[in-house]
Amino acid sequence: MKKLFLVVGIGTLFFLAGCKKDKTIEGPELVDIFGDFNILEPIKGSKTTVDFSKGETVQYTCKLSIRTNWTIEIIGLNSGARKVYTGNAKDFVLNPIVWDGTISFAPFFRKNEPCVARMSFESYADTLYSDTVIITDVKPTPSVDILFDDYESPQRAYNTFTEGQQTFNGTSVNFQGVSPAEKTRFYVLAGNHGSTASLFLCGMNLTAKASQGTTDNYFKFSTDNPKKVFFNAFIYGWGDNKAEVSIEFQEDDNMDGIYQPAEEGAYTYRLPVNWTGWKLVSFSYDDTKISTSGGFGNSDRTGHKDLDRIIAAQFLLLAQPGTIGNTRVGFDYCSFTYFNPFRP
Amino acid sequence: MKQLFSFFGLLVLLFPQDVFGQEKKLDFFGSGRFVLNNSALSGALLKHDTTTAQKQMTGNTLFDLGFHIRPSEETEIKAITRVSNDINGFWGGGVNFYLRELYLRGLLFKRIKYQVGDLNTKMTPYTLYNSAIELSAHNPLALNTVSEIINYDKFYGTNSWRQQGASADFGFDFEKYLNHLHVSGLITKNRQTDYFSTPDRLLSGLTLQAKAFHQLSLTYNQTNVFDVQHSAMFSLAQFKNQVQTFGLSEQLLLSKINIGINAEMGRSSVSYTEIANAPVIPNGTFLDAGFDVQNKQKSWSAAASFRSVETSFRSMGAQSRRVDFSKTGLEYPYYTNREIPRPANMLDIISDGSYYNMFLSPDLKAYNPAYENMLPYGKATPNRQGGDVSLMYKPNKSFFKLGVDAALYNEITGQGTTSLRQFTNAEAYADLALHELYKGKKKLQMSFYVRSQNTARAGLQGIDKIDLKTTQFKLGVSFEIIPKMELQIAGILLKADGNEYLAQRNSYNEIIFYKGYTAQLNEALWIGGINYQFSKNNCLKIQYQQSNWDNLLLPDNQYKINRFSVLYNLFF
Repeated sequence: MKKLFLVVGIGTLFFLAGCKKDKTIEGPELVDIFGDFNILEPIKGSKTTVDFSKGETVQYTCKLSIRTNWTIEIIGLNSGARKVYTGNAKDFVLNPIVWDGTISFAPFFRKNEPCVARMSFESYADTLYSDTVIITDVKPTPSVDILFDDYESPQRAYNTFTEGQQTFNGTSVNFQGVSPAEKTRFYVLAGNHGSTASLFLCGMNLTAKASQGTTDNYFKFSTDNPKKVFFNAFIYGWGDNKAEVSIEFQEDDNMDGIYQPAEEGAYTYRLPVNWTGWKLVSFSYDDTKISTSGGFGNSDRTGHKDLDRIIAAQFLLLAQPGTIGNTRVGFDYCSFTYFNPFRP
Repeated sequence: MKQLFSFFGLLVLLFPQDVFGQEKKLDFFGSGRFVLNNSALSGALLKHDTTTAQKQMTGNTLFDLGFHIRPSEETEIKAITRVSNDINGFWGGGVNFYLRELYLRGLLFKRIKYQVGDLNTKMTPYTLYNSAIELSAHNPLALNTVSEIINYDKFYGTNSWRQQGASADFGFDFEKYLNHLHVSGLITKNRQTDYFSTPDRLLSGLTLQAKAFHQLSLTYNQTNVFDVQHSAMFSLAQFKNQVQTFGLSEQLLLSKINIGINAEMGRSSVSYTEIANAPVIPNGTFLDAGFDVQNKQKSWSAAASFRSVETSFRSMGAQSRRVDFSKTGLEYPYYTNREIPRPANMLDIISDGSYYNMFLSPDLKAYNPAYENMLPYGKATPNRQGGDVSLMYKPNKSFFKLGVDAALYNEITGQGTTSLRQFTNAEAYADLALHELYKGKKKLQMSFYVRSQNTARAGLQGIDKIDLKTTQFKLGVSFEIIPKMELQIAGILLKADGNEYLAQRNSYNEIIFYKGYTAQLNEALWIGGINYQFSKNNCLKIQYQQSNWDNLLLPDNQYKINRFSVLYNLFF
């Protein structure tokens, strides 16, 4: 019984020692987020004209009564280019949004283009617009480490291929009213498939030699670490949810200048195209997987990825399983960057 | 793949003479499985959703082959390989072949047990522990195979986290007062560096346990999670999380009643170095003390405990969650014409392993308050203090087992307001072996479970008021049609009504924003089917499952999934 009293006594002490109440508040105050919503100062830009080529910026400010999730989209009224900022600050007069002419979604902004900032809110129906800002000159296209192709040269030696009843289109300008992501041209793969056709529709292959315009069979990367090299492509989707893209890098494992698909490896990155408009897709070479098509790059002589042996890149348009009919996909401004994905 | 083939080549070449020739030096084990789910989507959702396919078929076949190899009396190697093939992978397109588990363990100097390779790591609920939380309690028999499969696939075992590394333990026996001293330690790799900005992360753990007077046990536990500096080229950033605890447990026998007393208390520290603008995180403490009593015949038991876990208590090993609501599942991962991720429903959580996480996370991950709001991170949930009581009654040779659990908790620190949340939880369950009641030859078993969990905050400013009520009801019936074949029926109903504010945290686990949550949710899951039990570890389940998700505040998103499911499972 003595033991029991001892236990109860110790337990009571533990209980008393454990009871706590903290008078501080964890996190921001709720009233600062869920209080009355008012626009105290509308969104406005700091300039009416801006020359991004000289490094000028536009500063946007706004003041709200509470913190709430908002989105500010700066939209090019001719090109449709968009720069998007999101946040939940209620007062960014002191810390304004600073726009330097870059984009979030292709295409790029154009010279002499009027732009407007649109501010919308996740929890409120209000939409605010700024005054128009005219871009007198654009920011130079950001540099990439290796430009694979910007598709501005239709005479390039593109090797295109298809099978059976599928059709494909080559280099197009303003295909069905679509503006290129960058400059004046982009590449479209299009095809038509029936219910009994294979998922493969058509493809295009471009060698490293043609891409670089030199006699070098391979790309000259400054590193052979697959984790450090990123491939970037602007991909246009028509929103039909039928297309898949497979981007394949063919490695000439024995470095004899000829790619032998039955003996040499090909590494692929495959993604469904389920969006409408341009989207920048980036992945590291480490993210690619060896081809699973028997006799088409599924056997690698070296047994690993060799960036220094990439002899060509191949772009395939595939149909998503269970779909039929026309589908297409566009490519523009494909590049390699080191260490990080391309950030236009 | 070549490495795998090389590994098995080595196994076959190196061991046959020593191993195959001698009894019990090599044994095989494994599992086989076939799953086919054919689902159809219906409901109000489809009036507005023209992008989601209405029917889906998913599934896979897999085979695990494991080896226990004992090259000597003191060494054992365990390796399991897995070959799996998705239903959608034809002609080898969806085949995966990989090494699922590999470890070596043995005895050094006839005293020190060690293991290297894959480890199932577990310490205490505040240091390193894998808590089962959402919808895991008292599930009907119709669901036991799917939960076994998820536990097996994710290596959850007995509340452990699968890690890779090394562990060792050894002990000393004494004659007077102190009976035994046991030391165990582990070190595992928790994260792989990307060589640029993300450093390697290691976890180390140490337990010292002293047993005295044959009934008293004192333990010291310590876990350290830390980034290895210089393992990433462009970053010297270092995250550290240390937890130290002291535990006490004592077993007493008073008047033919077993009494167990358990207590654990400790503190945590978190630091970030070489990270610009990183906050200083205060140390956090906790205290957990309780007792349980049980009669000698084990026909009844009772337990009570009190715990208080400070708001700043952080334990990566104990607060990582199994269910990750940011993941998408195998079936209908996106819905509506905006193709937003479909939130996990009860059917997903119970049957789809895609939602389950296998990694320790430094973040306090998001959770769904409709399923669990009181202790979403297990016993180590920060900012909670309160107590639990539980009672169980199962008379010897009786056909029933009854139990009730109750818990009352409140916050220590207000979130966004000085007003504190209060949580109440009440659960009751009954397992009935009805055939024993009427002496029937064919088994008829029923199980009931009901839980009511309420969250309330009075609020001082009006908008900070919270009132969320959730109710779960589970019913299970199992009837033996012929020997080995059972008709199994299960129903799970869930109702969540009210409002909450969900904290949104930054990478330092600081609350930076709140998202309002309101629900008038009714979920129902009905399952009916046949279970054929070939042997204890070998069964075939053919089931029809119907899941209905209906939040009255989002009437356009109401949907129903009707699923025909075939599951064959074998462990050998």
